[in-house]
Amino acid sequence: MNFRQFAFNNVKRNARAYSAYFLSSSFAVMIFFTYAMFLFHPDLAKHGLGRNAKILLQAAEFVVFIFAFLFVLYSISSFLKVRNKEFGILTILGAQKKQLNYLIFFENMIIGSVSILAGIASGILLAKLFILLGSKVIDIKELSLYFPAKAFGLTIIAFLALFFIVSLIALWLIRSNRAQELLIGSSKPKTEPQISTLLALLSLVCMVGGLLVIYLPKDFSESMMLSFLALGIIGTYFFYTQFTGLAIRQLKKNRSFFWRNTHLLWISEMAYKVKDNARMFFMITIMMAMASSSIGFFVARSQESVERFVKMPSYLQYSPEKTLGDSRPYQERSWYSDIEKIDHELTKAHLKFDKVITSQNQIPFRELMDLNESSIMSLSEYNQWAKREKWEEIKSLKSNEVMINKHYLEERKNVKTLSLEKDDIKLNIVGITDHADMIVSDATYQRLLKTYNQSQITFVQYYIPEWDYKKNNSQPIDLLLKNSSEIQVAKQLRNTDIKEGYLDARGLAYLRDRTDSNVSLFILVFIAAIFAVSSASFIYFKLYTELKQDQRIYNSLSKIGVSAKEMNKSATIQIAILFFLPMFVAALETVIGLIVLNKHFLYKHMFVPSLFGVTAFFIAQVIFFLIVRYRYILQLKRAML
Amino acid sequence: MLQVKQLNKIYSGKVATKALVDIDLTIEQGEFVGIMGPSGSGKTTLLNMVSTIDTPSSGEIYINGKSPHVLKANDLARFRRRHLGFVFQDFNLLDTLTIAENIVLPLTLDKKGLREMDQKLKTVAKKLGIEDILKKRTYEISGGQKQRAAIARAMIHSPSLLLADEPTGSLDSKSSRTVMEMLEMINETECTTTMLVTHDPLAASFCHRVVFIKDGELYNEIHRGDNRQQFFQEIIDMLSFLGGTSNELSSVRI
Repeated sequence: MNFRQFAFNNVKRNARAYSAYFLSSSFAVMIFFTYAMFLFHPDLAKHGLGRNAKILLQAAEFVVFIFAFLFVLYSISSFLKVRNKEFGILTILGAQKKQLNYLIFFENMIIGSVSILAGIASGILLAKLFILLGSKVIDIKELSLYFPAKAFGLTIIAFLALFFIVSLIALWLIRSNRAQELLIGSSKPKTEPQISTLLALLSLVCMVGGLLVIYLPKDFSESMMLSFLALGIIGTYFFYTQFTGLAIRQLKKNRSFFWRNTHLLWISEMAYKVKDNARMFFMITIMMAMASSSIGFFVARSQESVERFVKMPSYLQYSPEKTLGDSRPYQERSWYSDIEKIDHELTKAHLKFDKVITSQNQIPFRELMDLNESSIMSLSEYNQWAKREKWEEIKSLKSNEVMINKHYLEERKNVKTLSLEKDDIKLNIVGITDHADMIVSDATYQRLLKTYNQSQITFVQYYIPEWDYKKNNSQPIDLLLKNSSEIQVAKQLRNTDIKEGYLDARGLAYLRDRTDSNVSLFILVFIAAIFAVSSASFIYFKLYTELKQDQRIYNSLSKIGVSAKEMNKSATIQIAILFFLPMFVAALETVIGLIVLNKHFLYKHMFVPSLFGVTAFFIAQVIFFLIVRYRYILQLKRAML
Repeated sequence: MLQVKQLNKIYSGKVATKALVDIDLTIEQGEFVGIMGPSGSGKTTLLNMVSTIDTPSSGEIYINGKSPHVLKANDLARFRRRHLGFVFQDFNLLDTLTIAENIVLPLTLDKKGLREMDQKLKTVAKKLGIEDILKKRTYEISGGQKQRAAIARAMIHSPSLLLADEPTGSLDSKSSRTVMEMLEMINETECTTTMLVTHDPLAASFCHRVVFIKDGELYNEIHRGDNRQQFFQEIIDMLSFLGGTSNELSSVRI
């Protein structure tokens, strides 16, 4: 047996000891790979996914990787601690430092490679579900399964590098231990955690200070809000690292409580367990609070966008790109094929529609020079528009007559005629109009277009009676939208090949809004879920690392008469605090966050979705808690007599 | 006080091992009995049976006329914490607690009142001379002090039977002597029946009676007269008999 075989057999024959580390590594790989598979999906690239959404999706992959790194690092360090004794024996048998390093490194790479394979394999199984979910979220047709070459490559390379670096860091972690220390391992007595009363009080001050954010005036600035956020974060950090310690110390001083029943057992243990996990608690709390309040925020925002959507006046508006100086009939212009496509889609959806095409030309009248814009419109087009909007139509205009918007008259009271530099036409102002800028006769419009051909713009506006929700505003908008074909048609139109111009549809804007919200939500929930799962396994790892020691303690405790029931109670309380303390703090911070967001954005529907978010996390944590508790107590029971 | 009748313990497995064979042993109220024997002779097994940690294959054990082995697990734990006191070789004090908290642990589990606990703690700490280390933690005190704290924990509820498993096993000679003197003192003043399992002849010489076990069977027992020095010598002689070559130790000692 050479050294490499020894390392290999170590892994193979002691699979049980390595299984926790292996499983957590595979889990990290699986999440990363599944996500990559979604991210690199060819159908996704084809879709007009917003830039924001794309950046968010990519950033999330990066976060997942960073997280995987910390996760694997944490797993390996607690895993190596369990094996300290083994390394001690090897050292006594004469293994050189170099050989030991090689052993750890080699073992780690074996486990790493296997877990990459296992992670990818399980990732493929998970992918179908994930892609289904993902495509629902970004509101596109279900993505097909594909051969994820890019995702394979990225995952394998990223994680090989990760395991390589983690191995090196792991070697550094156990660097200075001598054989004696290794043999004694983690059974050295722990000294009492250091608590600074000052920092503990500071945490309280910071948290209360952060709380004051709810008394801020309505129009607070962003920097003000950020400084309160920072205060809250600092407060939370010291709350876990210092304040909990202080609280437990005070609890210990109350002897009539502390010296009672199993309190002595679990409260004293808690001081260590909370301190050990403080940083993890901090991360999970911030993460959960952010995710939960963001869930509320985004859900509320998408509700708002529904309402904004209905208020938008135009349903569909097409604006062609090349319109300058073109005086041909609209049907002959190059962009008209787009209009035909849109018409076709609408007809296919059995929708009645009315379209009005209007052009406007910006003319620099001498008399109105320093005012903003002055665009003219032809009489016939104005009348079409007016008819559609049920305004009063204008009977006729002579070629030297113009009607102008009343706001010009407010600015220029004495102007009676309008003149130009490049043309000798003189236009007499014969009336005022409320809606258009200026209206001239068709002939005048054509005449001026020849000279001033640089600033004509054209709009095609569609009126679709079926999409007018203002008529029956007794029903809730959500329901109306659900029954309407608008979203459906908007999706169809999004996939229509429109080349010569831009299509603005309020349905499309709504869809884009919703996709952005959904992607953000999806990513937040996804990352928060990873955090929740990992926090559970962190806690499990920590318990597992100290299991031998705990078993020894409970064994001797049971000799002096601690019953299994009392052990169960003490252990359950401890694990429950580990699981639910961060939940509780996160829920509190979520509520504060929501109150602030509520003030700032005045959204109505934030609390209920956030409550859902918190509840979902809570249920997940309860399940993890039950599993971890069951396994831990089972192990301890074995040590009891 | 303690009656052991026809006790057998067989460890079944691929090779069945007879750990204890037909042990009969009676310990009177207030007696201080040592159990000695070579490694693997079954003395710790015997102690575990008596302390209800292990169950016998056959035979019976009565403590104060009651058989604890019929009790259910939770009742058994309660029985141990009310009627038995334990002293271990490696102290088994919790690192997370102060010495005082370690000592009162069995009482807190029985939900005793604070005043009663304080009073008992004070008495027992004074008796064992550990009053000034009560607020310290386990890593701040010496092995001898730890063992005295462990004895205090075993004594605080005035058990009817005190069981000590190699209490001097990890102590230096001076601490060993102090600890044994404490056990002797407690036995005399409180009349606590004590059963001591040990390798150490010096520790055993504090007993009233030493029972020798070899290969799971009772081998012999010797009683202490007035002279502890003489008793110590007798123990040494007996051990060398047990060891096989009868004169290898005694020739040196004499």
